[in-house]
Amino acid sequence: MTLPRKREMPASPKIPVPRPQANAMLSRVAHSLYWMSRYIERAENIARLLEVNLQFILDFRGYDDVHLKEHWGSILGSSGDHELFEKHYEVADSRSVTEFFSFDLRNPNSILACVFAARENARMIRDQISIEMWETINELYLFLKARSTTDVWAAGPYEFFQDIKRNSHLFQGLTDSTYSRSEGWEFIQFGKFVERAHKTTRILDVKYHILLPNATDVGGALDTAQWQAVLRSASALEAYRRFYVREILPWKVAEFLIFSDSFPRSVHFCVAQIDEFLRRILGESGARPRTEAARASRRLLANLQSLTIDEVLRDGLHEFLVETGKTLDRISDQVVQTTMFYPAEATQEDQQLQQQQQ
Amino acid sequence: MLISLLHRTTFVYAGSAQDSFNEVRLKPLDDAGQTCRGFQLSTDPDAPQREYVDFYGNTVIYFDVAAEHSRLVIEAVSEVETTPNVCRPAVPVVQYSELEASPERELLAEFLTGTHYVPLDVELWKEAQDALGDGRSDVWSDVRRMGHHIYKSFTYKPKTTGVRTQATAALKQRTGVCQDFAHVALGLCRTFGIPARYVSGYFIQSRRDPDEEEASHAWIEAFVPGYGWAAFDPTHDRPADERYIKVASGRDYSDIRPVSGTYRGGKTRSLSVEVRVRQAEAADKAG
Repeated sequence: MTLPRKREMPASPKIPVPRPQANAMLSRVAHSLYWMSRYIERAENIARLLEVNLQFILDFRGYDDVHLKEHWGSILGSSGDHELFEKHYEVADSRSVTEFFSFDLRNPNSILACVFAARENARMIRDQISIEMWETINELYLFLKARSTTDVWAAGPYEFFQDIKRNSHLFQGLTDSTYSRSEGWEFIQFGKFVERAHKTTRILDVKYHILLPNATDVGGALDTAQWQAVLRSASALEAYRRFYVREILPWKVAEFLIFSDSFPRSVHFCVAQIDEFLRRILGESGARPRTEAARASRRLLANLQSLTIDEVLRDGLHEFLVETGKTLDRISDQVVQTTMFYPAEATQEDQQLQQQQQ
Repeated sequence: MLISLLHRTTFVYAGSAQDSFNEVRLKPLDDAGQTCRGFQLSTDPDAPQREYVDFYGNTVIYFDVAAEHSRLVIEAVSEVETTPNVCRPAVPVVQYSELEASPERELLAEFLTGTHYVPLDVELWKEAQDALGDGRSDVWSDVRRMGHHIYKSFTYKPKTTGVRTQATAALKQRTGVCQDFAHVALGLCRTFGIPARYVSGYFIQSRRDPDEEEASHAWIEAFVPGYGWAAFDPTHDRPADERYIKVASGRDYSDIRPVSGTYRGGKTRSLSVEVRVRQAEAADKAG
């Protein structure tokens, strides 16, 4: 018979061994996160552009048909969808352009098309994002699907565009507060800032088209109102006012939206973020970038840090904006190519089967 | 009988292939009729191999080649000892009523239904009726009679069918190779409610023309209650014996594909298969 042993001291609590993290990310998932984020940001920016331009027309009822056509034409030009629009619509007016940019699925850049694409991407990676993020996108999609241009005009376009912006902000806020700071986060942020920087250059460029400064107009009431609209479409009016207290001047607006290092929608701010996330995604830790994309983003950032608005205006604002847009395209293309993309020509094949034939 | 086997599959790709994922069912089985004494699979390009046992009890080896390659060679070398004919028990006489009442029949539903290669069409049923013109007798005799019927009424003719030919198509033209013979036999057995499965393997020929091409072989097994799976080869009109080496079994060809997989890359390619089946002792004597 064995005697009961003396009671042993309870074992000291074990130090929990951290579980190995599932840190390998599929390029398919990265691709979906990136486009989900980009499309939501794009939908928001299109809403901004449309909203401000609609308001803008209300301010100037004196616009005749020719002016109105020019006005909408410039927006179509800025998104590069002129040809597509003319294929499907006869006149460019408030209604047709709103329809084209809000609900027309034939336009891959319409708000509905963007939200649909964002939702499809989110749907493919539902296990990767929080339920709140998914629901926000889904609700926005259902909200859009249940509406038509007629409803929007009946209820007031302002409310409509506000709703889209609010949903996009809600989504970004939820991402911020529910998504782990992992590799996926870097792709989400990269996509968001690429799109935002791009659209800020577009918004500025639209105005460049509309308000080719007629020397006499500069500083006039019309001019001021128009540049104010530019600021509002970037949610930058208040920020601008705090920075340049007094008047709204074209070059100052341009300077603010391009070069501000603290306003989160300025091109400079966005590019600084792009550079940061891109370096993390590509694993660029050295002082000298190794990849083409990282070099391009570093160069763009250096330009935005060092150029002055005078230099930009001297060489042409339009050219500068177009060039910046192209650089952004190049950078994002390269990142997609190297990290998220599988060449399409390498289709999957089945191994040929052998017949049993003896 | 100790038999040594070689099965070499060579894929040649136009251009190059990459991200190739493959499954191989080439390892001989272990059962009452045979014991696998040795098995070695090698690939070129070389790739780490892993394996699992599938639903039908076949050993599946899988590997992937991520790097670009212009050809892929899969070589299986094995040695199998088959149970001598004298040690094989005879298949008992079992009536259909016993088969229907047997508890195992319930568990073999997948070997009774139509499959991709063996759709249970009315033509197969008619053919089964013709095969047993003078009525049914017992399970194993009927399996043999149906097999014999196929042997008699079909012509063995390579290149008249392909790897994707279904039993119904082979039946229409009455030509084919062992794969088609086996599929048709499965169809006939199943229409009569006899569970039957497709067997993939090899068989050793006693006499061989020097330039005759060897290939893998296929036959069927029918379920006989109280005995188990009884093998019959409709291509040669005989029950499988010590000359037959079993590699895998399943509902039809799609369950036992010797080599299957996917890859990315060039579309056109060639496939060549080299099979060598030899009696091991004979090889020793020669050496």
